[in-house]
Amino acid sequence: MFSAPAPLGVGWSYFPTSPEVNASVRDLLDFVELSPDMLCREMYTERGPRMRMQPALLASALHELHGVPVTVHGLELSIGTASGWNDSYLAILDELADVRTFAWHSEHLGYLVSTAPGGELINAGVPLPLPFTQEAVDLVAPRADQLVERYGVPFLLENAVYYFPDLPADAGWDEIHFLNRLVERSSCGLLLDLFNLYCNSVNHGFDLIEALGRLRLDRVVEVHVAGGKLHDGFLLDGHCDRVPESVWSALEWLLARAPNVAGVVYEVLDQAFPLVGFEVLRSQLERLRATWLSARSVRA
Amino acid sequence: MSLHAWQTSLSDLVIARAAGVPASVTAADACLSDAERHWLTRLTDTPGFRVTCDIQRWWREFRVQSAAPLTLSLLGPGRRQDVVLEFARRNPKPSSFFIREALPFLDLAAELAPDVPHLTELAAFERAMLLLGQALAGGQAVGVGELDPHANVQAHPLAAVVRFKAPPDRILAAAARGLALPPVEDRAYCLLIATRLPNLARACSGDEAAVFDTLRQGPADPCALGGDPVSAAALTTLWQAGALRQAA
Repeated sequence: MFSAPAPLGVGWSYFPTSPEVNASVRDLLDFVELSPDMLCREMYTERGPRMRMQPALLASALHELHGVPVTVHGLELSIGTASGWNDSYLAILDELADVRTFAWHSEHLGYLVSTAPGGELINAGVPLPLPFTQEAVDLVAPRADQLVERYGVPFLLENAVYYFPDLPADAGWDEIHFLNRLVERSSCGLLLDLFNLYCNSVNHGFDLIEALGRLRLDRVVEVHVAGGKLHDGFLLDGHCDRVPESVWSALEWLLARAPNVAGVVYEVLDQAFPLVGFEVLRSQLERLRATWLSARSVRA
Repeated sequence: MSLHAWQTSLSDLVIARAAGVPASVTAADACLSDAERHWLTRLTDTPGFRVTCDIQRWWREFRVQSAAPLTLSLLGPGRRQDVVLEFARRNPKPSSFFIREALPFLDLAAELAPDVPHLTELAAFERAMLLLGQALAGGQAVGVGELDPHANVQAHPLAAVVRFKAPPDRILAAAARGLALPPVEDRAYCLLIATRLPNLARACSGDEAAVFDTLRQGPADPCALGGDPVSAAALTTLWQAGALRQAA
């Protein structure tokens, strides 16, 4: 059964190699989102490439985040891979869970790795979307339930950005229907990446607010906002810019209606930080905080 | 729908196109339905597919840029693009991990651009630093005890000596800042990379480099190797730097 966590507030992604950036915004944050994948390296074993925690990076993260509420945001689980998810990611998440509590954890809804006929793992090098089908729901929903049980905290699936036209879908299904079926079939919540959905609405020509209006808003636990750039006519999920005004508007709309949102996060890629800079980073987090507090005060 | 077959085919298409080779649905995709095959075939002509492949290639270039910035900077914009594309073509299977991408890239850059002044040495330097940094971050032990004169020693597999053709500090600084590189000289400037050095590197003498090279070939008896005072001193300083280890 889905269980909503207590609200945390405003968060931001942890940069493992940039403690000065982390420190520069600490006063604006209620929690930090940690991607354990970024504390890892790749090892070769008899079973092929496996992720291994780098003790120095883990120790540094634990030290820096001492006393700070943490959520976990995975990149490498590949929860939608038909032939099986990336269990070496779960091994590192187990390792993290042994030494650090986290309020919830989340993963991207899609797949990164597939398996060739000979059993070789194929890393696509870029997250790929799932078709909007019952088959995909039947694959992912039980895995989400396993994760809720395994870690004893809420598990969230993040809606993906995709650039392929006309993704295969069951009759009458679209992305929103797919997300709703997933949360109805499982005990997981949603990490609603508003910028991803905004990109999809721009790139595939649908109305963002109309889509949000059909979403199971009671299952939205966390919200991501971000900014990106245009490339060849597509708005890319670059995490490298200010949040567009349309996304701020959608966030206000959402926070007024989604009863279980427990955290909002401004996402910036580590490597894109020089493009964004301290000033913009702080201003975006200040605005996010103001938006969050305003919505909370109205609800109270 | 066979989700497994669809995913495998889609991954193959993205990997192929991103590597710059023709992407097509293959006969191996026997589990695909006609509709799935049709969708995948049409997909490769769409702008959305091209953008997805561009993103995959950017991520790969980003990983190389993050892990091997100095070598990449020496290539300059035009040459850089050529080497990156060739890297993708020869190594079509991406990894999410920086070092896995950077090591073959460094090897390829040294192979394709030996004419670029200082590039071969810089690539060797970044390669050695990546391997050493990875081992240290992974908690690999670096402590050394006393040099046992009765046990054979060998070069530590994570240590390296790079022979630059100009002062390494000037080359590294120029590459990092995008400034003019110092001219190539006839003499060698040796840089030792080893586990116990501050910042993991220091200039080393020709004697140290010679002893290290000998021990790279295989284990040797330190008494025999350090028969003369110069070699004995080099043996000691290399040992203290963590550039040697007791032979197994």
